[in-house]
Amino acid sequence: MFASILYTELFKIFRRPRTYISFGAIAVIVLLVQFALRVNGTEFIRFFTDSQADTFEIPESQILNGYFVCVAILHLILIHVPLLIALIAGDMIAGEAQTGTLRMLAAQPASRTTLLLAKFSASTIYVILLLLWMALFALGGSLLLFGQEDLVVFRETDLHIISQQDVIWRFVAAFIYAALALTMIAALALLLSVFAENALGPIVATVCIVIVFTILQQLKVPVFEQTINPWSFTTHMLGWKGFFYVEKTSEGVTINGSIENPMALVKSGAILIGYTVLFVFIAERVYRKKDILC
Amino acid sequence: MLRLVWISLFILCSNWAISASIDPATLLAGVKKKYDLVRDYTASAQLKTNVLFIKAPLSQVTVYYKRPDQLKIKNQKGISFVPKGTVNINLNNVLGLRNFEAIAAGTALIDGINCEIIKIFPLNDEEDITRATLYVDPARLLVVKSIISTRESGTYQISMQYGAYVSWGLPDRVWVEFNTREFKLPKGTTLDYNNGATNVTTPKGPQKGKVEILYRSYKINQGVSDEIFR
Amino acid sequence: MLSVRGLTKQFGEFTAVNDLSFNVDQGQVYGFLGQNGAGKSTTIRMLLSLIRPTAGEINFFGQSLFTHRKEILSQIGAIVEKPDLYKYLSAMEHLNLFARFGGHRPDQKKHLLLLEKVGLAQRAHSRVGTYSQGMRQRLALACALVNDPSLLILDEPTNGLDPQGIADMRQLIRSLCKEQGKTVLVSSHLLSEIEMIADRVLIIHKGKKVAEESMQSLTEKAGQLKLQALPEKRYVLEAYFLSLTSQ
Repeated sequence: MFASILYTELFKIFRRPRTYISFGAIAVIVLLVQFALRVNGTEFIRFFTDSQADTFEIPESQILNGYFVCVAILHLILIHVPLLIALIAGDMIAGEAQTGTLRMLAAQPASRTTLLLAKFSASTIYVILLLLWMALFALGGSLLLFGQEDLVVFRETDLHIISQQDVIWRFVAAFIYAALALTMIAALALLLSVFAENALGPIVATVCIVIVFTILQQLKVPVFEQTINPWSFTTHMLGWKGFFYVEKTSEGVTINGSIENPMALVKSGAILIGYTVLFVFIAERVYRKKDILC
Repeated sequence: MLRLVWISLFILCSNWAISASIDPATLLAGVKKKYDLVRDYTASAQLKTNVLFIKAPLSQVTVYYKRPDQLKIKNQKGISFVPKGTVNINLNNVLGLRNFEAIAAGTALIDGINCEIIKIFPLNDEEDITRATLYVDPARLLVVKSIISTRESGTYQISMQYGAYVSWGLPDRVWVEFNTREFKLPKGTTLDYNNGATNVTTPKGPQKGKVEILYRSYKINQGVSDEIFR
Repeated sequence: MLSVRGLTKQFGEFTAVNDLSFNVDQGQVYGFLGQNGAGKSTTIRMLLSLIRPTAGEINFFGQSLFTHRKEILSQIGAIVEKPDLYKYLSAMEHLNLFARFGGHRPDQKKHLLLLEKVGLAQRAHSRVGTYSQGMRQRLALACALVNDPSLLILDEPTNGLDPQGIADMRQLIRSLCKEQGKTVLVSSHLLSEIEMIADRVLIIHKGKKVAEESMQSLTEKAGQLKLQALPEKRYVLEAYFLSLTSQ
């Protein structure tokens, strides 16, 4: 029964024109970023390296390669892609309530739990497909346009140079982690959707929550750093970047295949999974007992 | 006992006599003559960067040199942040100075080698180099260590170790130590992931960086195109 | 077939359905009548587990809805109020969807026959967004029938249909009941339609049952009442209904 319901939910998602708007939007945004970096990439890199220009020979044209551009594009995951996820996941229950199809759906033999889990699973599959699409354009497209070199990742107080032989697996891991983060966003949007009878509310609310917590996190105000930020899911959504922070020896040489503080990534991943389970659990509890009056 | 005192005094006076008798200009000329044996070279080397804010892999680089002062370090397969001093500042810049004053400043023991210290002061205000201190092995006419101050690039300490190519005056190993500026980007620009590692307090202000170049092989005086240095 | 005992639903202070009890026998067309806001839709929603009753029992086929929901709903097809469908899907796609909801594999031939029965075979592959209200109503009925349910719960099934459509619907309901042995619970405001098809009628008013009779018995009772002469001609049943629900 679950497989049948999942099939129908996926069928509905991919028969809707708005689903393809998301894929189109990703393609356009990625192409725009690639175009911008093609035209102004060197200035972009100088912003990061200006303070060291007197001390070091900065190989700007080498730094601006396909891997660097892909990392720049992955920052879209934080704000822009969650909107596209919320567009589908936030519509799952509230959208059906709004159009009146929810009562028809809820009167079917499948339990509400099965229906909700099928909708969540369909959202997750959508997330994965969207990310694969993004990977195709962001990584594949960038490598075609900008070529392949070592990857330089800038942090607030340091920079990491990763050998090109040591890069691909990190991108695979980063995309898998991003899928986890965006699945959590889908779960949040689904939870909010259960409480609403209009799809716009959950979509906007999801994006607002992401924006607010991102701002709190980036402000680096001590009171938030100690209380909210360690548990804020937006803090842990950035975990994909952790795959691009490498360890170095006492002599300053990076260790191939290493990750700086891998336990932090494990902890972040666990927190994201925890949030996902929590959101889906609450959504299921509420939806199971909800009177469907629409 | 008295004999011992006399012998010690004799040795001290001899050393003083020897050093007092070394003419820095002559020594430098001898060193330059040795280094001038090399018109150009192409060397394959390994570059190790040890800077607080840079995490970089070991790089396989190619070093190109062409007399009098052209030097280029190229990472054929990857990215390296090469300190400018490593390229702009080399012994040939110092040895090639026309108008300078050289002063003998004693001796020093470096890696078991008794070196003459020669301080060089360019007399031309337009020179980038403001002063240089060379630690010269007088027996082999080789510079073992140099501290070079420049207007543009700051101060660099370059240490050299010689081996297979000693007859050419080409080192097997070079260490370059230099001042670095603090690397700090504005908050929020990089959207860092807080993995706890960045909580370790990084020292503020300028620090010292180090680069080590391990030369594997040289192709000497076989011609190097000017195109490489553009 | 269906047994309801003491069914009650409260929304806060407001009681929408109050201690409602009735039985629907197999093979019957059971009419469900009441004014707007009487509690008909709330009752139907409770029968379909869309709303949780505050109190009462609902038993289908001898089993409790609360413990055997899946088995029971797999034998029920329903239209609840205005049939809202997926505008971006075609009629055939809807039937495929509903077949899967019921745990069955889609059967294109069977679905085409069903669409023919409801008069939509020519538009089987057009998007529902291009359908008229009447066409959507017919598609909703087809969706309710796709898994061959033994009980049909139809809320205002003739809404939006033209006279021919209404006649066809009436004919279809009769044949489902008489020829295929299905049980049909029909909620409608069109008393004339109920009068023509129902075997038994339940009338509710302000959430309470005011009458549950066979159609024959109801008509007899209405005829026995001394009703005031009205300027317009009225159906007897309508007059009786109004007299019951005006209190």
